Amino acid sequence: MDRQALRDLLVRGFAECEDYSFEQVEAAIAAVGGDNLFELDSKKAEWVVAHVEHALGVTTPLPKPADLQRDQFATLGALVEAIAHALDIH
Amino acid sequence: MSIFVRANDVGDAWLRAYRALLDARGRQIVNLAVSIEQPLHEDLGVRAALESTLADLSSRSRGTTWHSVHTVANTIFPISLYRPDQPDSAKRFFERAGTVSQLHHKRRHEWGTYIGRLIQYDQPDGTPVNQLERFLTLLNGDTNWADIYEAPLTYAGENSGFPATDVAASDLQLIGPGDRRTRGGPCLAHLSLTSVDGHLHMTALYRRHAYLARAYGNFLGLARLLNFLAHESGRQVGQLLVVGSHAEIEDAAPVSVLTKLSNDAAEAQGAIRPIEVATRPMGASWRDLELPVADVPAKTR
Repeated sequence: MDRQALRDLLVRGFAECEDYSFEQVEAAIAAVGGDNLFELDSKKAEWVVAHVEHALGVTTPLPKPADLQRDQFATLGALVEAIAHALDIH
Repeated sequence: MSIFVRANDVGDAWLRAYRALLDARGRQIVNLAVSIEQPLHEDLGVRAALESTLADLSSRSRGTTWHSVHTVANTIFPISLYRPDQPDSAKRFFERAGTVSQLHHKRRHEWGTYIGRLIQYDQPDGTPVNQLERFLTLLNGDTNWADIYEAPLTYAGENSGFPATDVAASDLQLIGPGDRRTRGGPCLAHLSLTSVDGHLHMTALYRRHAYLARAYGNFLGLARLLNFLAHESGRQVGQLLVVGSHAEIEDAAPVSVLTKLSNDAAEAQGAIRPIEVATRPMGASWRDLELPVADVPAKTR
């Protein structure tokens, strides 16, 4: 999996949580100015992390917001970065 | 020494109880009962004063993590997972919260969150029960449902056999008989809900209630939860009563800081607003709900 695929997986997770379509979430991300300006609160970030763990079937738990600094999960871009680091995806 | 505090809103309740604790010997009270008449309102001035102090403590302390009021409230009811405008909004909330709860279950040395215990409480045989869903089923069922009245400290959904009345109540367990944690574990032990005249009321029992780090967020989280249950059962929100069998102001800050917080909060009091009870629009900022950046003196930077 590359970084773009991981990023899209997070967006799909967010869309599933919100009951919106992937395209609707992408539009909302674009409207606020991109991944690094699209904010999540800790619980929604937890949901997205759980979604990624389930989708990828990872055996080692990924970092959740309580394991991270606020600026590591406050935006979609930051959360992609944190999970990519944990999964060693470049 | 029991103390009863009657307050209008969440912020007023926190401040009145905090001041009672500040005056109490050892800054602790056995059986501190706090009644909130309007739990759907809070005082943003009081909240800001508290969070400013917490941010300051956070910037100075090592090893102690201080959370925002919103983060604490999220452990009881995470508003970002609730969209009341949706069809099957309660069912979808339970699904989302259940997914998040699983994230905690997979971690060792974690007891989870209160919302996790409310929707996936382990019965003695190991099967989980959604206590909130059961309560909504009762509330939304036959209007003459006093026969399924629940008694305190029983398992969710068990009948008490009380005779039919127009008053109904239920109890939700968060700490079971086998839970012997001391610190670092759950402090909210029990919730009791009562439906009278179309209003839903809540009583919460804390075995230990920390007023610096937790109480405001807990009041807010309980108010959010009460709103959820009332909304999903077509009722009005009633009163919230929070009892701390052992309430305290933690020994985490000098008395001068604790006193200053009391004065600052009293001075800022009056910014009364409705609490947030549901998620924000997609793409909205959440940053304002985090602890502010502390104003640390230059010599300590």
